[in-house]
Amino acid sequence: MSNTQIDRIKNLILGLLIIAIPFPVEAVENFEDVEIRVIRPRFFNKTKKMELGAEVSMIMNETFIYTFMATGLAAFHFTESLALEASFSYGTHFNKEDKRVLFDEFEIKTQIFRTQYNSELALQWTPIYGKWQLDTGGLIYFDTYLQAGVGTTGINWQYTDFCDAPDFEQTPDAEPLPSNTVISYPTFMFGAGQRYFVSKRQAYKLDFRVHRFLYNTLDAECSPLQVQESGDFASGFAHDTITLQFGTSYFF
Amino acid sequence: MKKLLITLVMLCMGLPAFGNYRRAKSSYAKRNYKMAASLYYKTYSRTKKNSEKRKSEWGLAQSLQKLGLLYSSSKYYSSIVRRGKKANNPYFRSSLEELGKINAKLSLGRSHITKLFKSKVRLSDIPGPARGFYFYYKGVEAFSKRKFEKASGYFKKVPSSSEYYLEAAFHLGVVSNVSGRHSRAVSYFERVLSGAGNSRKSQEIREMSLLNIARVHYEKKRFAKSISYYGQISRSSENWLDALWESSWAFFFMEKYNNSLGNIHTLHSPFFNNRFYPESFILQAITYLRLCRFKSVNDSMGDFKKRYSPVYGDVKAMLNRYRGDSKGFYKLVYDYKRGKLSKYRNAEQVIKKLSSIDAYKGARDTMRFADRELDMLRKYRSWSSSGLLTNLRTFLSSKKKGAISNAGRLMYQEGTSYYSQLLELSNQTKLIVAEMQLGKLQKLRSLINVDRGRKKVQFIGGLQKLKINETLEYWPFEGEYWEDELGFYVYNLDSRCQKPRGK
Repeated sequence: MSNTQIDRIKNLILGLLIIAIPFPVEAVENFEDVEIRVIRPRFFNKTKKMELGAEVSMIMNETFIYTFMATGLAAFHFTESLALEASFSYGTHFNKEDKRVLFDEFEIKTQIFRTQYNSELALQWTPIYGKWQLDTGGLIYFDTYLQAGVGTTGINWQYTDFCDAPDFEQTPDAEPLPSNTVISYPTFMFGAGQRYFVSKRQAYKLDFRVHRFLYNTLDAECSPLQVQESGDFASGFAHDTITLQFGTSYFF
Repeated sequence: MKKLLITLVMLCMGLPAFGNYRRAKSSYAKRNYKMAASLYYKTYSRTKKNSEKRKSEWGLAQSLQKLGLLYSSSKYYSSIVRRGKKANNPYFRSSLEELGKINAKLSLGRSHITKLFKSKVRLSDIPGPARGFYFYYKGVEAFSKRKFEKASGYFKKVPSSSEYYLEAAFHLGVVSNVSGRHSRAVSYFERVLSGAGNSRKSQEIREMSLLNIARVHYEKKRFAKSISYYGQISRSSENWLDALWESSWAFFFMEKYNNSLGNIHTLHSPFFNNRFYPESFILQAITYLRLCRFKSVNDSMGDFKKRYSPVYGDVKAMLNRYRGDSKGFYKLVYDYKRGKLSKYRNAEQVIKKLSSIDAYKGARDTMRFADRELDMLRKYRSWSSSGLLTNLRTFLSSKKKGAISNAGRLMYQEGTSYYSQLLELSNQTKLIVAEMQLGKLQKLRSLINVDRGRKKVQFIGGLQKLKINETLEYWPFEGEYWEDELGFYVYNLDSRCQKPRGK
């Protein structure tokens, strides 16, 4: 692992810690220096509640494929502002037209990270709780959270996506293409999202997440043995995927 | 011979009426109520035979009821009931029963009903299903004359199965409270609470019971308990502001000044600009006085003057203009409700309050039902030949006129009391300012005898007690009113009074 990569990871961990440490916000939240306050039971209480939800996730930064994933999540809210969330996503992919055009017209194959699954455990911090007022006068309460965590990402390597099959007639000792496989990589995640509370039990969720997983570049090689011999590879190379997720969750 | 001739002539005169009665009966049996009503009316108005007249009257009322003309049918049922229980009035019991049913569907009006029971009736003459109707209104009549014991006796006779039972129990609560039997009053109101269903009418009586229980506790200086009942009035209810206002006093006497001021803050919000709570400025001023915030006392008094001087002027002019003109006064309130108030705009708060009193609501209902029937009568032009159409139109019009006149008179009386209240409050503001300027603060403050013994209970906004472990949300008020925040304001002011030395 290069020094630069180690520094990146250090910075990421530091960032997570900063996000996760709660600030002494209670005094500010209670507006104790304000002359007139509204004080009432909170519309939506999360403390010591379990949240179970389902979402549809889309990876937004893959140029040549569409990736849609079904996500299930379970979170436990220790306080109104702090929660631990576990999530698991499993996905499917569709090639974009660009990929076909690129190959058909220019015979260009592109390296593609097909995310097959993703599981993460994240700490959520909710610093914002607010309300929107609609034109009709109706109110929608929401909260905004930041989250960061770790997990694994399973990448489905389909070597035919970006490798040409070796011509064994011309080069009989050519290295065969690796078989398509799914490999898991350690992943760091951070993101932000919002919950819109539509009742005392249910919320709609919208969040985006940046997942950084560290993969071995050999896994993305068409001739891994050759590259391994040359030593020109990295075992913790970073790749980022950005997901946008919509869904709903229930609190128990 | 002469006698025989006279008899024959008499018989001939009676024949058409007799024929009409038979035809009417036959039409009724064939469910041709339109024809039956007309024929019954012809018989009723022409026959000389008493028994036939009575039967036709009953048949007419029944036919009109079957046609959905309930008010119109009530005219004839009422006429039967007013004659009282007599041998030659065989339909008394049935008519009383029918009137009870009609009144449950659409209010006949209190004055209409009380006129029914002028003649003395024995208990055995009142049919079971009509007992609730009868005794309830007898009770109401006695209650309105402040004969509380008599009223109580009637209300107690309303059977628990009757639809008038809850209202009777409510009145019993009021009577008990007036007589100083507070616990009994609460138990009657609680009975109403437990019996009230989900209908709009039930909701109204339920809220009135909650308010009354709260008032009983307030009167007995059980302020926290009083607030807990005020707090049960839904925010969407018409009574909510009253509950909020009255609870402000309870908070004041508990020395929960910040809660009291918070409630008043809601009352003074732009959402309720057209609501009439002039006393709230006085309470606000004396609350500030308790906190030794003298500038705020002056501000409150200034706000009162600014807000109510124009109101005072217009209310005075309005009352002068409509003295003796109850119809005109009703129309003014009616125009306001239709959004067509073109004069006395500064008196809007008072007019709005008048439009919420029972007299106006009752008259409005009477107008609505009478108009609906007048409209329905267009389908019965064939009745004009018998005179029934004119008769019913006259009855419905006079019912409307009576309702308007009665409501106008009662609203005018109420308006006069609001005017007097404004006048009195205006004098109070002068007194507060004068006393403050003279430096007699201690004296003034001591006049306001607050209850120091009940400071332990903590309240949050919305008349709710602070519960342990409850998560609260706080929003600052920064000059912007949010509708959902109304009723939840709590001030955050400390007292600026100097503590007495040596303590």
